[in-house]
Amino acid sequence: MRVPPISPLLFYRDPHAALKFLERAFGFETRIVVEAGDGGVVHSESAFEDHVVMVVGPPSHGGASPLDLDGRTTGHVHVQLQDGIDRLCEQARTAGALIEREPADQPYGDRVFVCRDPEGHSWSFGQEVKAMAAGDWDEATGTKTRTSA
Amino acid sequence: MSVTEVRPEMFYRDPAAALGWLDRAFGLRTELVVNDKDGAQVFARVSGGVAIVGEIPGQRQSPASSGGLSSQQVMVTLDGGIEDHYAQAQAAGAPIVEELRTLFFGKTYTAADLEGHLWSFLQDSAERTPPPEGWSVRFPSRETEGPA
Repeated sequence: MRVPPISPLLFYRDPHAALKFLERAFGFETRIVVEAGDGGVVHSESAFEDHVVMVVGPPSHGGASPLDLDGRTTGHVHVQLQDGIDRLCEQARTAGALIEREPADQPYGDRVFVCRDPEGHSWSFGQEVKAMAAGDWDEATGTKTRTSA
Repeated sequence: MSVTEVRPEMFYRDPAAALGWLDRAFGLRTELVVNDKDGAQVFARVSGGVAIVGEIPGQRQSPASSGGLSSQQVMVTLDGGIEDHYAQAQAAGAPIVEELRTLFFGKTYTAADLEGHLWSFLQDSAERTPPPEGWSVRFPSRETEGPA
């Protein structure tokens, strides 16, 4: 069990409720919870296989729940799936996620849905339905893509 | 269901300027840049897969447009060299939010970037301090289920 080099860390007013939501809605597993004496969560790992999201709160040190930012966020989490995207969308909806964009095939070859969790953090889930290289999606969407090795 | 990637995406007023800054200060190389037909940078990816995208005022905002507050930050685990990494970030003018120190889970520091996004860097360390008084560490997925 290793932590990948990069993980998103999200600030919540109620981190315990958030961890429960991530389990029910997205099938994540809470692996570790570090609590300060006052009940606040200073570190946690909500994991799916080798991938981790960290849930922390109540926010301090420049952090804020979207509830404290009039529903706005300063970041977003994208989860790329191998399969099961439509089923996961229904699971998330049943658990109380607000589905902002229903699952739909995108011109760059992925099927994507977008939702908000109960505190307003923004999540998207994608699954490849058609393998496309950068040149293919540039042609499909009019963009220009540069990659560096 | 299987997950292949969990990617933080961070919103910037000036996502093009962010790429050079993140490289200089944090050593995050630009891996991919997508521009629209008018030349605006619509998506970019740096080391580790972090996406750098433009803000949509009123919905998705940079901390620079949100009173300096962040709803999300990035945790970067380093293989080594955290002292040099810290020195480089400081030399590039990154505001240090939490000084480099050894905690019970390793060596870590937190810095803000040019628009106020928070980035924490962590390196495993043989030298560890015990958790502060009153803290608790639980491993819920390892807890046994059913009757004892």
